Amino acid sequence: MTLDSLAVPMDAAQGDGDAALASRKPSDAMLRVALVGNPNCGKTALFNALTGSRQKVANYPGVTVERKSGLAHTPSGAQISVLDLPGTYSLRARSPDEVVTRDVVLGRLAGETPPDVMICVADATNLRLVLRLVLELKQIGRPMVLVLNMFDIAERQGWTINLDRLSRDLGMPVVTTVATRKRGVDQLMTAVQQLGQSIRQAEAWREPTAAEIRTAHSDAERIRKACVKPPARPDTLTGRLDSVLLHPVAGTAILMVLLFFMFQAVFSWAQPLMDLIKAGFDALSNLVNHTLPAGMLESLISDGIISGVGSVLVFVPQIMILFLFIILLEDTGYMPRAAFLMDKIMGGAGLHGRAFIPLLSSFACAIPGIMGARVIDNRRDRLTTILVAPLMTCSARIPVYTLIISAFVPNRSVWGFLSLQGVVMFGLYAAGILSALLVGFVVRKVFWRGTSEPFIMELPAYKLPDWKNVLTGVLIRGKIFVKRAGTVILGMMIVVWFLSTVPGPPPGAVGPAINYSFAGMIGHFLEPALHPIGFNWQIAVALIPGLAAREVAVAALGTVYAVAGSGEAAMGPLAGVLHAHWSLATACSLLAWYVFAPQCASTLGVIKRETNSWTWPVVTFVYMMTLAYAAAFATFHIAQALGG
Amino acid sequence: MVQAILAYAIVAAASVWVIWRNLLPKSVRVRISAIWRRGR
Repeated sequence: MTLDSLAVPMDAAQGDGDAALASRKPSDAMLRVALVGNPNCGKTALFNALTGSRQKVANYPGVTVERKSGLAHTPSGAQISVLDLPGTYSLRARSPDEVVTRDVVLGRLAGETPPDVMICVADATNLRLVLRLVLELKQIGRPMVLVLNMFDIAERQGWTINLDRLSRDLGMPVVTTVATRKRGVDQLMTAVQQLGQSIRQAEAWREPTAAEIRTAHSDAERIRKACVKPPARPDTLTGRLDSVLLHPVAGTAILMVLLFFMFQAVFSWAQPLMDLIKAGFDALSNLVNHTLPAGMLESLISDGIISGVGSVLVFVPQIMILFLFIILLEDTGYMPRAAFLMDKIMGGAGLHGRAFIPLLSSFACAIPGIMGARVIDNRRDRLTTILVAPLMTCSARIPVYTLIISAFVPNRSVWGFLSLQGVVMFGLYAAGILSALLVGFVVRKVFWRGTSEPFIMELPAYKLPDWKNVLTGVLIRGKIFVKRAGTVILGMMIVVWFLSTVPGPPPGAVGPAINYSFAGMIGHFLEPALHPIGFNWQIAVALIPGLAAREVAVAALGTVYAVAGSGEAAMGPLAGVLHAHWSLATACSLLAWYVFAPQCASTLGVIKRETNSWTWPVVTFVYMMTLAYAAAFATFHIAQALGG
Repeated sequence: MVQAILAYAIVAAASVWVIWRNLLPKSVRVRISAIWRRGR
């Protein structure tokens, strides 16, 4: 292959890739390199360092499940196209994410030009498994460079690596890097550029036999022993911490305390910032009311846009605080320990241990969680994980939960130090987790009987969090939420305002104008179906746009009650308005509804894409809707019986 | 009157955007975009 033949344009930044990179297309004669390596060796951190991208990185295996692309520059200014691939231990791929890596490396992926140069990334403190992969990749015959990443940690721990000997034995250049600090990046790019001069056609690859694997393994061991000297005193900090944090009793108790503390903090720390944002929107609304003469435009801006979007944006601080905790736990390396602790419980419920991390990602959003299920090799285990992932409490539920909790749960402490609102929030998260376990159990025991495969995962060493990564991660989550509020939610709120305002009331009409509007008609039409679960017609109106995205319902309630409110009822904050209009039983019923309801079109779309079938999104929608109705029905009637 | 016209114009633009981004499947969007580009 010559440079001139590299003419197939790259489908830049697929999936949730960096939008800035997506707009840049590599030129025809650009060198293409791929990052390959074991899981959790820092490939994505290196990709980010090379391309200036901001792909998610975390201290556990399986974060990257699909190829990501970007552009890098050599010190001489030449552009290079870089592909980040999911981690793998071998080209004998088992799970769907490993298949992506194998197919890209071997040039089997349709529409994807194979890479010219391969960068094999290795964790410098853990070369045992990667050398076998290096030897396997070398057989393909493409130019290759070995990168020893996290080299600072290896030096600090006392590892001695003979780089010249390693390079000689493997027959390829070896470069050391610290990706998070962009150290060694220029040397790597120079090495890649030099290798780019000698591009050669790949050799045919075939699955190795057992004897060949044994030979490769012993070759890798021989090279490792010759080139790598372990520290005289091995790092015992990770071992000491693990003896406590992985203890069946103490470890589980610490995990529960951590999660509990997290939800307490979400409520108590965010309040001052939330008050500030709310005051800002109130001032903005007042400004509009005083500047514009009363009329339709004034109503659209004040009741539709500011009320609707403002009622969602007020939750940004809570979402950012929740993600601060999640990213901190990911960066330190605690998350896979949590997976290990939960394995027994999850196994009892029929879920594979590897499902923990996809399910954990679903706390942010079910979409990365469902895609993360690609790390599970067994199809049934993967489908079970995909089916239950939307039950985990995603960040879009937070505005709904917080609104109802602040309206109906008094802001007081229990046992002197716990916030009652935080306890209820913890309970709702627990309800999501328990229902996911229960559905997993039913699916595995009733529909897909059989034994699950054992859970094997490498536990990474504990690390101090990289503050830049933590802050970037938190800001990105905040940005995604604000962007949704400024695009999807804003658009929908304008439509909801229109439906709530037009047509106007006839002359001599009594009661709020919204009763006569399209939204009022739709709400009244749906009310009989929702009456048994305690929902009024205003909730019915809010649930329609809320079917596309959960948090839209909060904005829609803000708009509906702002338009509907006559007099002081609409003047107070939304929580106060809801308290005046709803019974406690209705509030509890709506919370129960939101634990289960499949109100996210994007999630159903991703299930279709990941399963390549319409069956599973339909199954997910039907079972979740049935559970939502049943749970809301039971909750409403029990709460009513108890006097709510 | 001016307020009503402006309000309806905003509603119309938002409706088109909501339909375009949230209701139309991506394949249809891609096809319409291609026809639009060819027309220009």
